[in-house]
Amino acid sequence: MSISILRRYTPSTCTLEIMAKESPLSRWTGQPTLKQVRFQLSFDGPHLPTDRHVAVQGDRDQLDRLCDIVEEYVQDLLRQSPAQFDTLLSLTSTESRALSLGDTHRSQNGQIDDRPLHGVSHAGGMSLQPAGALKHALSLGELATSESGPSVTLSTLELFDLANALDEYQADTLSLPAFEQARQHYFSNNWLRVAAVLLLTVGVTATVTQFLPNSSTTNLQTADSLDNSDDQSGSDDIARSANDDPTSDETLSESAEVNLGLEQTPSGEAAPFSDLAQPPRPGSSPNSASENRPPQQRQPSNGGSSPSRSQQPPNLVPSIPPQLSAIPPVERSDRPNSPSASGDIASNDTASSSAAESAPLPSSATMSRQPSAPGEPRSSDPQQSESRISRSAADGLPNQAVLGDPNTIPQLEEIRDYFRDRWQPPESLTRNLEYRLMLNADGSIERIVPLGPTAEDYIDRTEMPLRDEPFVSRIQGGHMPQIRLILGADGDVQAFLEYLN
Amino acid sequence: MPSTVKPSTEPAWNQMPLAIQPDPSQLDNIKAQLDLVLLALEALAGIGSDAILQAAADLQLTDVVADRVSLWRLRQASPLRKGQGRKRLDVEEARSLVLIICHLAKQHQELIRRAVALLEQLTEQGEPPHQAALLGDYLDNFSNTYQERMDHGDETPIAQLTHLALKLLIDLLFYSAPNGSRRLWLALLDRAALPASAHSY
Repeated sequence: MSISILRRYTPSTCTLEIMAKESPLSRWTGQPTLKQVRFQLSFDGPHLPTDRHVAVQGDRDQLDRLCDIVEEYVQDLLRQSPAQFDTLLSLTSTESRALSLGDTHRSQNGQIDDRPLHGVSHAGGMSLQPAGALKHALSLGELATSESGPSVTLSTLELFDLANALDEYQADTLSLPAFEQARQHYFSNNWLRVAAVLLLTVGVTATVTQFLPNSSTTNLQTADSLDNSDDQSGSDDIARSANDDPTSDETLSESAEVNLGLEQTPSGEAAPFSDLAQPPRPGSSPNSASENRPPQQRQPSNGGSSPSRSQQPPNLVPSIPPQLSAIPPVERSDRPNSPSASGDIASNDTASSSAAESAPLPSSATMSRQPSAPGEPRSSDPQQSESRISRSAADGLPNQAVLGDPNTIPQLEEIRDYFRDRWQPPESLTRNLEYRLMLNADGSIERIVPLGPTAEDYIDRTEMPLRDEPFVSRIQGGHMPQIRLILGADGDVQAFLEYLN
Repeated sequence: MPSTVKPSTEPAWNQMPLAIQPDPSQLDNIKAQLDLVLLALEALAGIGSDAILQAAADLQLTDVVADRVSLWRLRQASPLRKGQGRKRLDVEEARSLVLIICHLAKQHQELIRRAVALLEQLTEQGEPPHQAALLGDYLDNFSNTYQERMDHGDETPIAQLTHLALKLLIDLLFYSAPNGSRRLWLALLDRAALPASAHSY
């Protein structure tokens, strides 16, 4: 595994490099899959002699913390009144630190500026504080090394360049290749979550097939009967035939591995994920591989919760059943592995759809797929199967209840309906908005987490209900689900269950 | 105050969230701030109304800042001005000015960087900023124009104006970044909570 530098940001006075190792999963996903993301930040401005260059390294979490600290500090700096700025300009280091400890400052006209010049601190020991004379002390905390010392003093220009590099990094995160995230950080990093979605499409494809209830392998017949069906919204037949994929076992383990923070590793389902990931049929896969995911569209005929799913053209129906028949039956007893995987699939789907615009996925399981010749036996396009299956799964169809998928709750459809009635994307919006909604057991919103700056900026235009307002129906079992909501720039609405607490 | 935000196709609008609606007294502060930042740009880079109007045209904001008269009116809205700016500046106008300011700051980023670098150097050496010609000219221009235009401007001590000018110079540096308009907007909303007099001397 080689370490590759994904991004390098080089403002004048520092260099920020983002590095990662390529995961062996890359060969199965057909695109770079990265892990162990790390950064190196060097203060190496031309004005500094080489022996005064300072470099620190850390992981993504530490980098994100640094981003937060710097952003907050810069805003604090800008927010200062001129009187406070005087202080920053003229004080010595000691005096400015004393000021930053909370003393208020009287402006020249005798008014008390009620927001003293604080520094910004963060867990991990990192902090940024004014150091007098237009300087700023960055305490490195856990990033400190023997070479760097505990802190670095930055000039205002260095702070500016650092802030810009970090801003650019944050803006780029959505377009970076997928990252395999440490399990314990699964729900802790929005950026990773979104980026990781890129990884998961192929894994999801096969995985989805794992979580539908088993049905008879004789569903070849059933599948064939679907050839003539125009109804993509998913009859039970489609769902059942989807379960017939003999390769589903394979996909489960792989997708579990690639899924963010997936705690469980499916046992006994070793499965050559590669089998599913690789285009089984030369005829169909190259088509799908070469096509980019089309823009999301709303499908009136079904829930349309996943753009990829919802966009499957009717002519895809004939092709799917033969492939679905290739899907091995999924035993209900496999269910223990299902919840997390399905949840991940949901989030994967979400991520896939949200990443659609930013990164075409060669192995996209979605509508890019060309219909394969009807009647072709099991070989397979697991991706097509996946899209069928996931679509029906996402649509909350009656067969969901039949299948007993624990990862779809009726509230998902309620959420989709709620926003479909209200969501009107502004013309200026070019990206999808993603939010994490934590629901209370009574169906009201406990917390809304906008994922990304665009989502933050547009939240007041989404008609998002307020916290503790009635929203959806009571959740059976007293769960407090965590839902991923995607409001598309094209007006599409999707909602997925991430986590059923 | 009701928002008069019109639908805009400007992608930069999404840099300036309206989650916080400034109330009228806060808008006063915002007006003052915007006028001062523009004053700093004028004093440093010789930016006149032509450049501002050109920026408005480049950003397709001519429906808000159409000509010299509307520009003058917007800037006169500042409560610090002589005549005390009774014009209400609506949110969309404020946002437009933010975009224009950051666009101009970006165009002149090299100059701003040079000025800040000089300021840092001189400050570290304990020397007055006027020692550098670029800074000296900037400070003189700023003080003169401020005194000319602002109510009680000529009563404001030069030392205070110098500090105000230097603070605005640092601010301009941060506004010249790609996400400068977001930074400026948030800073305006944050500072709007402070009394208007805190922004002047």
